[in-house]
Amino acid sequence: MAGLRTIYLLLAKDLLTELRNRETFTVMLFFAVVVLFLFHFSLHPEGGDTKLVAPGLLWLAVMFTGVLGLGRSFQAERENDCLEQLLLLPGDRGNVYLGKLAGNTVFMLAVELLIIPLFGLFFALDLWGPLLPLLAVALLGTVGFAAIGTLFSALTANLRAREVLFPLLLFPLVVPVMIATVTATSTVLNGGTLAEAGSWLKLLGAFDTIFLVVAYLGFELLVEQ
Amino acid sequence: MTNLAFILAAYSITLGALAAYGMLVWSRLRLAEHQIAMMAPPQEGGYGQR
Amino acid sequence: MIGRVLANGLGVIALLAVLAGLYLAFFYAPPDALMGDVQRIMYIHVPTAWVAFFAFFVVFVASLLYLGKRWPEADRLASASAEIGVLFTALTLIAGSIWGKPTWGTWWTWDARLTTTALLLVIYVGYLMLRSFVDESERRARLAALVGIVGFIDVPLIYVSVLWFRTLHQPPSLGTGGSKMHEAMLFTLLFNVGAYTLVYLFLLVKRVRLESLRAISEMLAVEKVRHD
Repeated sequence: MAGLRTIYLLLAKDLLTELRNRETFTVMLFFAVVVLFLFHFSLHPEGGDTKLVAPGLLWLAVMFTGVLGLGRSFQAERENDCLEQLLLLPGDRGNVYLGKLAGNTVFMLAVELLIIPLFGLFFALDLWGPLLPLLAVALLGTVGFAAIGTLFSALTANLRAREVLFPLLLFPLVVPVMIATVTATSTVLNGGTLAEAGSWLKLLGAFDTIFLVVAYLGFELLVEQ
Repeated sequence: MTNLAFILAAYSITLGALAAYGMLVWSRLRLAEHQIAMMAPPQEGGYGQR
Repeated sequence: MIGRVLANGLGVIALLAVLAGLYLAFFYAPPDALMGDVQRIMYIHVPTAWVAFFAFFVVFVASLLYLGKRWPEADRLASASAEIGVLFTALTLIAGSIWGKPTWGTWWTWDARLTTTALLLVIYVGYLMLRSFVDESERRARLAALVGIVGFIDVPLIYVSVLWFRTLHQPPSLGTGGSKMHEAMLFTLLFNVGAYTLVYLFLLVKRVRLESLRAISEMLAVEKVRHD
């Protein structure tokens, strides 16, 4: 299928570019680390309350980092006028969206895989027990965030004040995903089973589906001329 | 009854803001109409102009 | 000409409806059994809340129309309705806060409806800011339409997620109660909802006209430069 091939090629291109110069990923990773440090310092160091707010802090750190990475996701294309070329590819423009979404999701997940253990270390949490459910939550949450994020990254790509407009537009819209992700993480980390977190995961899945469909259609409408 | 203050505050702020907005739009409309009249020969005005 | 007469007529009717609504709110409707007279704030707070959400529904529909038909009028409608919607949303939050203080003892609470309304405000302020950052009218209309559509779809999602979150962390104690409303109160409420909807429609008509005139003004200015 030409569509899948487009998606795969885009994903491969973004991953290879990143592997070659590792700009975005490194910045995202260290930004997330710094944010986690700041969160630690902004709270009472030994307070037992930190365990209560920890899931929220983790996902805040991920979201701030994600905005960094997502904001840049169409910059490379913009610099070389590649976006127009991409859109000339045969088939659905939506495949360009899916390709970009795949790349963004992979980048964010890569950062999360490194940040989550660090987070467990900083906040003295046991992450081994609930590891699989935690990863499931991370995957669903990231996809939801990246789904809307990729659309809005394309939307704000050529605007002045993009760096401020993009988070301003994105953050209110991802509130549903954020609430569901944080609550599911909290359930899972407090010894809840996947079943208990299940209703939140189902809600998160529903949000992801809606976001994906809306963003996919939205992207096609965005680049229509 | 101090609750009266709350009631009056809620109503006056809401109605006041709506009235202020209405007047703002109205004054800008007059300005725009004036600007157009200065630039173009007077035509049958009103709505429906493209 | 007739358009302007109709619009101003609408304004007069709206004003009369508001005045009648005020009379009903203060003299016809009985005071609440629990809250007393403070509850009368409901007769302006709920109507503005209804109008705020309705205004954004109009933004949603106008945005869809623009993306479908590319009518500039649809974009002007969306822009005007968003601006008025932001106003009504802000007023809803203010009146709600003022009502909350004597009723619940606090100026603010994170219940699902208030939170959703506050986020609605942020989303549409973002919409207006986006519009102010794009100069080319076609591009501005297209980008804004997307935000208008995605934003509107997101609102029920926000509401559901906050509601679930709240039932988890706090059992519902601040609901307005399931008790049936007194007939006179219901009538007063509905009448005021109608009155403020008329106010919205009047403001909308005038605001859209302002956008149209600005567009004409721009066109004339361009023509003038070309002829000189």
